[in-house]
Amino acid sequence: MNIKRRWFITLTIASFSLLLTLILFAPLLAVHDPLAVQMNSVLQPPSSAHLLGTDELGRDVFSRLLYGGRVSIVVGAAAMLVSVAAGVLYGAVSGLVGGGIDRLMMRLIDALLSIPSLLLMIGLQMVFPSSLLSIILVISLTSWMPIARLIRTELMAMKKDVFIQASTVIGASPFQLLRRHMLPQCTPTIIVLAVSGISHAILAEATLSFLGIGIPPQEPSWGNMLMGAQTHLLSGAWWLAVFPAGCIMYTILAVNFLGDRLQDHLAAPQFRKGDKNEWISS
Amino acid sequence: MGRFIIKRIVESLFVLIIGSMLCFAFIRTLPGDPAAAMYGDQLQKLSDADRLRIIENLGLDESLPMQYVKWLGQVFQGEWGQSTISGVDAATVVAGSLQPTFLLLLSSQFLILLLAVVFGVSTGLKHRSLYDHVVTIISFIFLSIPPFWFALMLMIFFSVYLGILPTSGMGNGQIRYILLPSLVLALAHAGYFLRLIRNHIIITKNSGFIFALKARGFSEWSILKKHLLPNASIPLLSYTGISLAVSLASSVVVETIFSWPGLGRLALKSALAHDYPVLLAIIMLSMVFVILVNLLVDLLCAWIDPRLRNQVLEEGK
Repeated sequence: MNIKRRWFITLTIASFSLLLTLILFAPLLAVHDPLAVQMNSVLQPPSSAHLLGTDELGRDVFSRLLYGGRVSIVVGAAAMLVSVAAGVLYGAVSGLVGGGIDRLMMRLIDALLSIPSLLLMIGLQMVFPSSLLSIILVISLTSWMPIARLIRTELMAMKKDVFIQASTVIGASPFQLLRRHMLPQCTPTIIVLAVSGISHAILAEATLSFLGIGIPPQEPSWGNMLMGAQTHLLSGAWWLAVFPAGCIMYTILAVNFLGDRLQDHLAAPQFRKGDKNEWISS
Repeated sequence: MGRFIIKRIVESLFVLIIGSMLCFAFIRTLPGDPAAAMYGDQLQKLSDADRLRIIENLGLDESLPMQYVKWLGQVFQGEWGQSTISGVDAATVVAGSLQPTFLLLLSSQFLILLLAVVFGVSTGLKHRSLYDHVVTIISFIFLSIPPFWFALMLMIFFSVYLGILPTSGMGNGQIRYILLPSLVLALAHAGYFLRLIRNHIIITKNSGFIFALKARGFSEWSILKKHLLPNASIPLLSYTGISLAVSLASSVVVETIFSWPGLGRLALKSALAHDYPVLLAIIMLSMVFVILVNLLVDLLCAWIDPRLRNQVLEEGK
């Protein structure tokens, strides 16, 4: 790994940690209340009083950005955890049991994947009342399928390996096989999927909130800040759109990039891309 | 080939049946009593006997499997219920939005293929050059931009700042109306295609038979045309099926922003207005469409490359 590359990774990790710290300490850093409406200072450009300006209701953009970041990160992390857990469980059962049940389980995944994800999310949003919890549920319910499929494929391939057959011969139960041998082997895959799951969930939350069916409008989130910004952008209030969108893009880019490096780091040495600047991934 | 076709068709039928069950389950989990939805406040005035009659008329007293079969029969006869907003048949409402979405999907798919083939092949051939790095990084960035943000930026630049392209609607079907929506839809995931083709070209380029062709003195161009490109056509084709579902999903966003009168905008509008029959019709229609296209793509791939057929048939054993 050359020095330039390592420097870039360090920079990404440092800046991303900074963003996370800012978001974590939002109550200390946000001078203004993110929900406080001030009709006498509407659509103010960035100034010393309002670091990143104010929105159409006079709310401080900087404070909303910090609190909105909490929503995005919480949704990203929670939705990822739920979908990875569900996907690994489903994939493991399908891959271990095999036969007719496996085929049926895979057809269910095919059916779910045939419904365009955003339509599925919109449909599910109709069933649950809109809240932070429902967003997390809806996003994780619509994103566990590829994970399950990948885990199942890995288990299927692993079943033919000699060390698994040997464990079966000495009497390991399917559960023991899974816990002691198969899942540890899948760890790199699971970690990489989890990281890409975070950026997927953050983008999904932003999209849903932007469309007005995500986080309720009074609560700030990066996505619904943009929804409000759409109308004022044309009249020149650029600060309403640039900062939330910048945060979304930066977070997704950083998470994707770190995931990519992590994948490389976790791969067996002979498959590492190392300093060859390549983004080959399946 | 015959066995493969039959196997794939049976599989797709299974997927269709499971999918229809999911849709049915969706209807049943929707909040609200169907009788209340039909009669609203009037329901309070009805006697218990009347209510029972309504429930019987709606077929809600039968067992779930029976209800499912009945519902499926109605779906096949084109009875998808009425839009709760306009009272028009859901099928008619949806049919009106089919053509715009179809146009949008077609043009964006064309753009995707164009971008992916041109840049994928050229970066694959110039692997590890500066050009390769730049294109790869740009495609990486485009994959991280939220499509709605990109759409807004394009709209501000081309429609508001330069004022050369219309901001919304589809006019009378002039090309300049479709330009921005299809560009956003295409760029949102042309990057995947690009990487797919690039990686495939890199792998094929270094394989033995290409080396042998070079040794025998074939020109770079004829190797590219007769060997590299046909080899890259399989991943391209098989990814088209997946990309269709992705495009349909992003079309909700793109159509909403550009007020494109298609399925995606209709889906969001009916969701916000709690117009379940229309929303369900769109979901079912796009599901069937995606399943059929995937079936077609798989059959085409297997027809082009016999190795794939055998792989699938082996899997079943």
